[in-house]
Amino acid sequence: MTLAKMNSAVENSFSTDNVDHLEQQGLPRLLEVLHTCDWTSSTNEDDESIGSLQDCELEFELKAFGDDPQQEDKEIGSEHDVEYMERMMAMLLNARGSITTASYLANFIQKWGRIWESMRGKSLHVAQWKELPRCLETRNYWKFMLSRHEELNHISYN
Amino acid sequence: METTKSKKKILIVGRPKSGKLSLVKALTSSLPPGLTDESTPHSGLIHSITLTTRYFSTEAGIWVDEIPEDSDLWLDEYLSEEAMPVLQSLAAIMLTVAPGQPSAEKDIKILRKLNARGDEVEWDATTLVIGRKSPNSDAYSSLLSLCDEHTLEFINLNDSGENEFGGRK
Repeated sequence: MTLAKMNSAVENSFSTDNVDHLEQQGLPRLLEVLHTCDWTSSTNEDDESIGSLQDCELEFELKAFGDDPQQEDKEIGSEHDVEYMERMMAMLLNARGSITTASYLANFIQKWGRIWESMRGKSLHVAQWKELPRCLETRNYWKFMLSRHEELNHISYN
Repeated sequence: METTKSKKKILIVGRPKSGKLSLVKALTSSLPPGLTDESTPHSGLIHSITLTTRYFSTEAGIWVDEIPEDSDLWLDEYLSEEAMPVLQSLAAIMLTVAPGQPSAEKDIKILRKLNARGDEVEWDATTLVIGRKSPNSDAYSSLLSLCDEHTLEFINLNDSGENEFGGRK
């Protein structure tokens, strides 16, 4: 083979018409990968919590809610529920400087709310997300989140 | 064989119109519940898939998330300490990319960052790039090269073949 032919052969092997060698085999390959994933390991749900709410502003807003005598009759929610909600709130607090639109916030709460719920394997009663649009209209979304957090401490589950 | 429910999940992420729901449908033969119309946001959709071999049968959750225009903020959420349990609960992250999408390179870098973050938190999951072969062969080969460059496996959903677990689901 001449040098020119060798060059041509190498060029052709990397041409856009000959990319199949880089591909895998579609859905069957995807399922093959999924079947070989580790589905047995447990998550680190029991790891230590990220801690409680420590923001001064939050503390101030929490006080604004006062005590609800009816809540005293309800059972105490699980610590994990509270922990998950705290995680979500911490993420919101970290992001709040960047949150400029109500739709972003609504998406954030829906998405992460569902993720935390899914990790727990059951639905949060406190996640009454239908209330959110009204809260956003009145710019009371921090209070909304905090009220959900308050409920978590005093709620029972079916 | 009894099907057990796995705590591990599959996270499917991608830009709008990149094929997230097509991938879910290809995997499960159905769309996620809660998808009422075209305007329903894809972020936070949840579904599940049952994976069965001769040794086990498990039901794994699927999370769908959409990478927004402001992808930095989106990524920060996943890289945060608070989201660590979420990353640790993932068995696989699949990035859907449509060849020719201008964000493809950025999205692949996002996937690499998620992968790198996973390494930091002792995470043992698989990351894949999923797409469909495009008529624009330049865009398609460029996407393949990007995956190659970032050592990510690309799976072309249009391709066919059989696997050792019984081929197509």
